[in-house]
Amino acid sequence: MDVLLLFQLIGPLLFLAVGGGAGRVVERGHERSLTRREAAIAGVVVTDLRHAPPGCVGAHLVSGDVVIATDYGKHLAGRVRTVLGGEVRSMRRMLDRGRREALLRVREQAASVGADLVVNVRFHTMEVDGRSAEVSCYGTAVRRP
Amino acid sequence: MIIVNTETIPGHRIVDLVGLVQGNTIRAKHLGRDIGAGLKNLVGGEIRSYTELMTEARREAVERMVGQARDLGANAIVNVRFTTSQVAAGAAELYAYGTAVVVEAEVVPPADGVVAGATAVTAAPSVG
Repeated sequence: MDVLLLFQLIGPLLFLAVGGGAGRVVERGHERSLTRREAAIAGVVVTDLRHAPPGCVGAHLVSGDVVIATDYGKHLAGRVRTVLGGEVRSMRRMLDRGRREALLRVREQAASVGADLVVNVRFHTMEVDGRSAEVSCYGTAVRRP
Repeated sequence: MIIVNTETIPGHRIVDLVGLVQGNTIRAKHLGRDIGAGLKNLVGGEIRSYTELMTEARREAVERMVGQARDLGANAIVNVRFTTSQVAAGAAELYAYGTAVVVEAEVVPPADGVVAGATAVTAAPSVG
């Protein structure tokens, strides 16, 4: 049998398998890390309300950024979805994790400046390359009275 | 310099509105050529080098905005907003803008309601 043809068939499938398998491991690992850190930072409250309650002190601009990508397998699945239509679940999960990560970084930065409340939280997402996205989050950190 | 994305700063009063100030950075991405990022695109997850690039770009944009505010004599920037946009293939601009103001700390009156320095007004004694 033609070895080159075999390689051309097996190659992408191997790529997909490694990407998909390792991708799932990376995703689970990230979700565990997010849950753990969210529990640790529970003392810092966030709101998208525009004003801080009266009596707060110490205002600081805080921000959190993350550039996040899906694995190769999910990326291909997403591409198929753009032909068939419907919800691209893999991208939604990736962006959810990205937002959680960006918000966590905002809260961690707020805690590092002695704040326990972040007001006027805003999110911004931008596509980087069709398979990865930039999620950023920023707000004003204050300390409640 | 105090920087916030709210319209007011808790515990401070805006005494002068200086004007709109801004700062921007344009950073270039070469995802296809970056080996680390290419690997991440296979297994997924955070692309740390690009996150750092973005954080650095934000810090630089804010620094430029602060420099402009300082030159105009402001001591705070309120209502800061950020926008990002693709300007060319592989390059994105991070733009920060806000209103430069002069603020002073608000004096909190003591509990008995008398502000230091106020004189009590008494009825003038009638001249007999």
